[in-house]
Amino acid sequence: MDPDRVDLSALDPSRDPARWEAMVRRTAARGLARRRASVASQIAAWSRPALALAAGVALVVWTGTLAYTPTAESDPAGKLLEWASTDSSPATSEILETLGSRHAAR
Amino acid sequence: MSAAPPDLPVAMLVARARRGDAEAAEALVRRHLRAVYSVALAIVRRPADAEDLAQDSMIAALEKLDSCRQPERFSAWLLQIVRNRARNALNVRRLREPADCDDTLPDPSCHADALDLSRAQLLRALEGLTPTQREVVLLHDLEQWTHAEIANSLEISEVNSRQHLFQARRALRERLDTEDSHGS
Repeated sequence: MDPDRVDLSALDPSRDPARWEAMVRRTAARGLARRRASVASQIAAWSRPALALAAGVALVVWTGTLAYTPTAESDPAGKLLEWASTDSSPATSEILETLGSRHAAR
Repeated sequence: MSAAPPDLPVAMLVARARRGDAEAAEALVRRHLRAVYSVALAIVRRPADAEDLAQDSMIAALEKLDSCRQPERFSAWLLQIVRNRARNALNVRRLREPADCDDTLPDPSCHADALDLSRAQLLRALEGLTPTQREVVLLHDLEQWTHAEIANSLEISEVNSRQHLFQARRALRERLDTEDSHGS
């Protein structure tokens, strides 16, 4: 025991042990309850923008699919039909490009 | 879930309390609430206010336990929370209360019913110390903290902590002796 110690026991908040014990239990319970509420609200707060983002991405993909219509350049069969109907003779490079693009698309 | 042993390292208690372990949370409160009260008292100098602040700070600390980045330094983190809250509370009180009752408890005409004589004498004597001296003497002589623990909490050297304690004790004794000689 330190002989120079000043007796501050009059300021001891736990002089009434029953009251102090109740305060400890109450504080811990309230702290934990606030923590649980806070964690739950954080999850809720994060889930909302995540859901909104996922819905946005799905919408963009869906509208992109709807808007897609195959063009003559991107459709080799259409190109071949076009050559046949117009009786034109395509250059070798055009044939290679058209057939090449078909193979590349596979 | 098993009860948290009282001698479990603070970092483990923090980890368990983060997972919602009620026993660990209670062990953290039991281990720190008196020190939190002492730091609050060193700043606001009113036991009732210090008790309220201690509870509120402890609850806030448990709520935002995830922001304690170094669980092994939980005590220092917690005491910084109560210091900030106590300083804010003191500023609010200074704005709200009239000058004659401002600041502290020592004047019995302002707070006569709350305190017994020895308590009031001690609080008046503490009034003459700096906030750091009050914190050091309360943590050391009331809470039995070591100088290493106090130095860690206040981010000062142990030598500095010893100096603060020496000066605080001397000032306290002088004031208490003066009160006794006036009283007798």
